[in-house]
Amino acid sequence: MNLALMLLIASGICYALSFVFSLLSFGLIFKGLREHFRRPAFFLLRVGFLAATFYFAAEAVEHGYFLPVASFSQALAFLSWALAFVYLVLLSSVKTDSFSLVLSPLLTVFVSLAIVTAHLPVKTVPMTGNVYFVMHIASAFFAYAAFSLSFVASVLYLIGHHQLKSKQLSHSSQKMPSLEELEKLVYQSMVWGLLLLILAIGVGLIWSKTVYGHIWVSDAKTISTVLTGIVYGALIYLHYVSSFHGKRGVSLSVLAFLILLLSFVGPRFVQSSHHFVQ
Amino acid sequence: MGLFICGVSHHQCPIEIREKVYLSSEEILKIYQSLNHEQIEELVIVSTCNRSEFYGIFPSLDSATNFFTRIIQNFRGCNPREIEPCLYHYSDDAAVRHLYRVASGLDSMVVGENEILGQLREAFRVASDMGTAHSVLFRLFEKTLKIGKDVRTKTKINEGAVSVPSVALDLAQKIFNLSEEKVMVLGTGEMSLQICQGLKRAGAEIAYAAGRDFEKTRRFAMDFGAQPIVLGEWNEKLFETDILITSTSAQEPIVFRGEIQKQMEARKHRPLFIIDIALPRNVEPDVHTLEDVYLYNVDDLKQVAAENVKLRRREIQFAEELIDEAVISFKSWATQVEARPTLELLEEHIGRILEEELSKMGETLSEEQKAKLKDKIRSRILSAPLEKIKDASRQGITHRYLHALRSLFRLDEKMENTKQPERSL
Repeated sequence: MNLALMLLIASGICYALSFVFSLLSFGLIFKGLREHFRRPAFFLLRVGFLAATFYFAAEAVEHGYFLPVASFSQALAFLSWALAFVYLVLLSSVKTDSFSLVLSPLLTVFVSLAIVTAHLPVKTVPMTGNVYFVMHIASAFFAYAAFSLSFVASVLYLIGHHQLKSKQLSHSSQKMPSLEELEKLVYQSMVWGLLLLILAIGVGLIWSKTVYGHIWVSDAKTISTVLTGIVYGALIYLHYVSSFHGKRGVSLSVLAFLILLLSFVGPRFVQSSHHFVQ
Repeated sequence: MGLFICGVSHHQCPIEIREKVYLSSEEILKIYQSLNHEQIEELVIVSTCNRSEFYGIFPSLDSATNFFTRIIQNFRGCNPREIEPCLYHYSDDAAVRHLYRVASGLDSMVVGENEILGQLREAFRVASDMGTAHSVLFRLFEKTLKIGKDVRTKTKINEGAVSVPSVALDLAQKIFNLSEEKVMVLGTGEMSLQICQGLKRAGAEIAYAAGRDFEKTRRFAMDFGAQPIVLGEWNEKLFETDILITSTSAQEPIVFRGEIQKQMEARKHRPLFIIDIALPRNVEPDVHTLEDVYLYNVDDLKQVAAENVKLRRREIQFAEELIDEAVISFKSWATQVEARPTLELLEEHIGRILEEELSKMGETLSEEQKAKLKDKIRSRILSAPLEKIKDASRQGITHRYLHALRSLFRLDEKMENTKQPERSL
C-alpha cells in the first residue's frame, strides 16, 4: 500500500468518524453523550480534508505531475476534496451542525468509493499541463461541489419541511437553519455551480479542440453535463425569474442532483472520451 | 461555622408570601452594610420573583434561620409565622447541591430556564462588591456558575420552547429568518399580543392588525407600528404576509382552504405560517394540507411545548449526574480547606523537631544546608499523609485521618494554644 492510498484511507476514516461524532452530538445515538462531540466532529472533518489534500500531493510526487482525475477513484476523491473545500473554506459562514451531519456521510461515501476503485487503471492524458485543461478540471469539480452543497441544503430543507408538516419536531430540528435560509443556500450554491459548469464546458470544448483537433460535442459526458446544466438552469430561472419558491423547487433540485450523479458516473458505462470514464 | 442556605421558593410558598419576602436590590445592599453587627462570615442573597434565599457561613442552622426571618421581618415587615411553614434550609453538601440545582434550572418553575443563572451571577457580583463573599462562597459561586453553564451546554435541559407564545416564535424561526417577514394579526387578544411581541423582538414586522373592535385594533396596531385594517379585508393583504395570527372570537372558521390555495398560487409558494390560537378555530384545519402552508393551532402549539417539557425532564437525570460530580468535587475542596489547620500544625510540629535536632549538630552543617535538609525531610514525611488525606477527602472520611493525626501527634493541645478557627463545610 503506497503513502497516497494510506492518506486517502485516513481521510475516509476521519470523515466516517466525523459522521459518528455528528450523530453523537445530535443525540441520535447514545443519548447520554452529546455536546462535547460537536467540536471533534468539525475537527475530524478538517483533518479528513487535510489528509485528502496530502493525498493529492503524494499522488503528484509519485506520478511527477498533478492530475487528480486520471482515474475514477481520483475523480471521486477530488470531488470529495472540492466539496469539503467549498464547505470548510469558501462557505465557512454556513458551517452548522446539521450541515456536517449530512455532509460527512456524503464525503465518507465518495472517499470510500475512491478507495475501493483505487486499483482501477489510470489513463494517461496528453497535455495535462495545458491551462485550459487545468481550468476545465478545476471548474468542473468545484461546480460538482457547489451542486453537492445545494443537495445537502435541499435534504435539510426537506427534513425540516417534513417535521413542520408532520408536527413532529425532533431535537435535531433545534440545530437546523430556517427553511428560508436553506432555500437561499440551495439556489445560491446552484447558481455558483451552474456558472462553474458553464465555464468547465466552455473551456473543456476549447481544450478538446486544442489537444485532439476537434470539439467533443458528441461525447456522452459532454452531452449529459450539458443536459444537467439545462436542468439546473431551468430551476434557477424558475426561482429567480418566476419567483417560484417552496418545497416543490427544492424537491426538483434533489432530482437535478441525481441527474448530476448520473452524468458523473453514467458515461463510465458508455463509450466516452473523458479519461476517467473507462 | 458551616455553610447554610435558608429561603422560600415557588415550590412551597404561594405568590402572596413570595411578594412579601422579595427583597429589592437596595434592600439587599442595606442588609450587606448592616452585617458588621452579625456573627456571619459570608453572605450572598438571591431574591427573585420565584425565590428569596440566603447563602451564608453561619455559626449554626438556628442562627441562619433566625437571621433570615429577622431580616425579612425588619426589612419587609413580614410576620415570621407567615414564612415559617414554607421556609426551608439546607446545610453543607445538601446546600451545595441545592445551589447547583438552582443554577442549573432544575429547581425552577420552568425546568432549565436560563434567567436564574444570570440572577445568581448578579447576586454573586453584588456580594463580591460588598465584600460579603470570601473564600468559601466565592469558590462556591464560581463553581455554581460553571455548573449552571455546563449543565446547559452538556444536556438539552434548556432546549425547546415551553410556552405557547415561545413555541410560536420558535416555529416561525424554523421557517423564516425573521428579518423582514410581515405579520398580520386577526384578533388582538392577550396571546396575540405576546406572540407579536416575541416576533417583533426577533426582527419580524407586525404589518397589519384586524379585529371586530376597530378602536382596540387601532391601539394594538399603534403599539407595533402596524396598519389597522377592517377584519373583512384581511385576504387583500395576505399576499404580502408571511405569518398570519388568528385569534378572533368568530364561532365559525373565517380562513378557508380555497382562499389560501388561491393566495399560495399567486404567492408562487412563498411559505406561509398560520398560527390559529382561536377557540373555536378560525382557520379550516385542512389548510395545513396545502403545500408550503404551515398551520398550527393552539393544541399543536401546546403539544410541541409539552414535548419540549418532556425532553427537558428526560435531561434532568443527566443534569443530576453532572451535579453529583460537581458536589463531590466541591466537597473534596472543602474538606481540604477543613484539613488545612491540622496539617499546618503537623508541619510546624515536624519543623520544630527538625530544628531542635539539627541545632544539636552544631556547626557541622551550614544554615543553608540545614534549611535544605529540613525542607527535604519535612516534605518526605508529609507527602504520603497529604496524598492519603486528599484521597480520603473524595470519600468523605478525612475526619478519621485528621483525628488520628491530632491524637498521635497531640496536635489538639497545640490547636487549643493557637486557637485556629475550624470550619465545617
